[in-house]
Amino acid sequence: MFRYLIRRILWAIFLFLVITFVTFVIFFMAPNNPARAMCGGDQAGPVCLKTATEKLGLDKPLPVQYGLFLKRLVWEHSLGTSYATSQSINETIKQAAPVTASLVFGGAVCWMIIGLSVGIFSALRPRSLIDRAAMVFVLIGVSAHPVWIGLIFSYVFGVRLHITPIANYANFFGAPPDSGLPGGPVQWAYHMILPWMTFAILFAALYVRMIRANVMETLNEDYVRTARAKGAPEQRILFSHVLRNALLPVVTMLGMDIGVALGGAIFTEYVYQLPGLGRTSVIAIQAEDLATLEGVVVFATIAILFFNLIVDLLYAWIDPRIRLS
Amino acid sequence: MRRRLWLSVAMLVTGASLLVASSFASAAGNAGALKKGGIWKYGTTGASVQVDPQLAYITTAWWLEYATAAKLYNYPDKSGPAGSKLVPEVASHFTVTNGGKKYTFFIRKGFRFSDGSPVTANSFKYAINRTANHDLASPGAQFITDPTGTNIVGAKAVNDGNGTNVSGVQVKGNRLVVNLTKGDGTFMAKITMPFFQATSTKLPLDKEVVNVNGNNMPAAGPYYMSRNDVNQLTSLRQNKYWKPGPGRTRPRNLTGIDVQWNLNEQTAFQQTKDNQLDEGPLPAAEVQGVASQYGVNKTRFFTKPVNCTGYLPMNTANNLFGKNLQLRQAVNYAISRPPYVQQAGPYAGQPWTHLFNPGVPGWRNVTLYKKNLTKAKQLASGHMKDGKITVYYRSSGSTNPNQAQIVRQDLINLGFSSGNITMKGFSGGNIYDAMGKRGNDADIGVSMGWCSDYPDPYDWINILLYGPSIQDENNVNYSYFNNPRWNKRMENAAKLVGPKRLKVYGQMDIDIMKKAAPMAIERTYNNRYFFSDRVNPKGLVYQGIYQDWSIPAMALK
Repeated sequence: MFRYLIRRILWAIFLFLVITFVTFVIFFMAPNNPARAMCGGDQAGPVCLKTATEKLGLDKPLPVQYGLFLKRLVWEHSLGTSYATSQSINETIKQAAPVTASLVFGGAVCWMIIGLSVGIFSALRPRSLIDRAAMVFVLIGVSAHPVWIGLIFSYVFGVRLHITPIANYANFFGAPPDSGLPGGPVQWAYHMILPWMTFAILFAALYVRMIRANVMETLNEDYVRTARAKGAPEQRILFSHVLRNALLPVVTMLGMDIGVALGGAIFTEYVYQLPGLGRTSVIAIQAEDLATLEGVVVFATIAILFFNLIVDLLYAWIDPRIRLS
Repeated sequence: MRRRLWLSVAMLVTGASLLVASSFASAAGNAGALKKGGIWKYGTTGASVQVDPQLAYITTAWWLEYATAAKLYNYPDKSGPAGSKLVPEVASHFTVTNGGKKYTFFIRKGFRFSDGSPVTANSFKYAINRTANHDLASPGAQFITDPTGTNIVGAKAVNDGNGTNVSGVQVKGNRLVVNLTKGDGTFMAKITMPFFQATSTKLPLDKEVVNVNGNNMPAAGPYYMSRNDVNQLTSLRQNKYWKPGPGRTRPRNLTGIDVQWNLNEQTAFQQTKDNQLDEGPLPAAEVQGVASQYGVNKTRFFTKPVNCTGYLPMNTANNLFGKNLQLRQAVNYAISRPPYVQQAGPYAGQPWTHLFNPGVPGWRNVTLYKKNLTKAKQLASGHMKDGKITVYYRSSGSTNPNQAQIVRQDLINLGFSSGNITMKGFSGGNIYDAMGKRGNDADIGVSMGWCSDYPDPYDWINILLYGPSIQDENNVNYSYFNNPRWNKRMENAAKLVGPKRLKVYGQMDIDIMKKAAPMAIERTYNNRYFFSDRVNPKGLVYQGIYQDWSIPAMALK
């Protein structure tokens, strides 16, 4: 087990180096000049551009810049400062990560509630009106882009019906004093309802289909028939025999999808103006701010590698065949 | 006697009537006064800007700075020509001696920063020291270290990293003395830029202030920045130590303004329509609808000119346009300006044919080139060289590529065969880096432009077309125009002051565009604004110098 753990950690470090280096190379392969943003954009004058290039360290060769980045990360635990705003990137991540976490984990709860309830009901009543309606929902959920869904939700529930806010984020722990912005747990949940629903629709659609198929398959297993023959009540058969087995792959998939969902958060965050990691990345790309972009990539990489490592170790613990292989 | 009594009664009644009428008139006047108080909520799709006074540079940053800054001299919160006349603010007056090389400003008492500390001559010296500081890398340094323009004694040395004190700036009691290496007609326009506002020594000399909370970045203007959360929220609030008095005559209606950054364009537009934001973005597709619904410059939709000019620089360092005035003039006659402007949507600007737009002092209202393909072809005949042309264009968005296609078609109409036109796309502002590198292969650039840094024609003619300033890279003379005769004229014009300076520059703009044609001017620009129903249109004062609404003048209903 110890050797397996060491192997996995070394592999995670290698992956981390590859991902961060590739991000660096891709950024510098595209023609751009982050110094220009500090000098008034299109207006940038030669003196200012020269000074800003030196200040950002962009006059140094690429491998040196990458080396400095790694040194700063490992020794100082610092992701550096933004090219565009001069803010500490650690601070940027610290502010943005909880917003994305709110969206992803809240969205995951929503899609699991929708997926489980609709999926199980569809499996129990196949080809019924509800089952067919669920399939229509699945089709729409898979086909429609989150930006479109977000704008429609925002317009219908926010602008027309005034049920929810049109956009913006409310801090769970309260708004800055004298800012006039909403804050606190109630406002936080109120502002997150539409983003959660938008975020959940795509995944809920996929989960409905998968849960329906798994439950229907499990319902035909021998042990379910045996339970029925023994006279077990239908509710007990469903919860103790069917769901326990049918949901095992769903739990596995949920663990993997949370990582994928981090990427999908970009669209939802952008429509609803949530200051999370996704929107931070978009802003960084638009501003040619490699430092911030690299910071988000590093953070997301570490988070995903960490969760993957935990999952791998859990698997190895549960199933000895994995660590032996 | 009786008659006199009647006369007295009549006079009394008349007097009383006048008194009543005047009180009614006064009441009516008060009814028209702007409401005090309220927080203006502004939402923008743009990324947040640097807020440190010596680093803030782009348009939105300066819009905020003009509300928080107290400067030696300032532009009043008025629209039109009245807004471009410099008036004393913290300095009561100034003198110029030593052949235009020594400026002495006399600092008033009574100005205070938002933390209560007084504004002194040293507050301005500190601003110049910070601007020149090597490690801070302020974009303002270029405006006080220009060997051909404003050059404060000792600023270049500090900017090069030799020391931290600009030797040419001295404080003597309430006097601020600024020594220049040579006389310069643009000095007052430059020293009024926000870089040189009264700056508190609370701000570190060589380190940028990024996050603002409370009073860690005090300001001496009517407002100060009370909060800055990068890419999220920036708040201005009233400076409680700013009271009306000598030099402090600016209006102040709002309690403050909150700027939300990086909003989604469509969502923020809906929020503005729904009065959740007071000012928000206006998607191009919505402009016409909004203009029809609310009218133009009446209630909620406004369009105002920006001090920018769009042009196609023709690279005179390369074979095609070098020593080829006829072809450069031919391009000017061949291009289709109205459809080019229309690509940016309704109310985005107007076709234009010379460098000085109506915001540049000394501009003249003339049309130098009307589209005339026959004349263009006559001029181009025999001057197409090998018939090959390389066009640099901006590939981002939809407007820029469409404009490039219009120019391409114009070039085909002029006589270039489509196979001989090489189009090279650049995203964002990268076209400026590419064309700013000496020896680049561009013959012409599309969708390029220049905006005024300070209200003086030097910022246009000498900055964009003065040959000796061309260097290996980072050039802004994208035409690589370098003609000794014109260089001399520019040098002579730079020495002038007052109305003569504007007259000479105004004529040179016309002459150079007609007789040298180093660029084909395409357009002017407008900003388009969309407001909520909470906004009082009477409080909207468009300040032409920084090309936005005066924050101190703004008011809610």
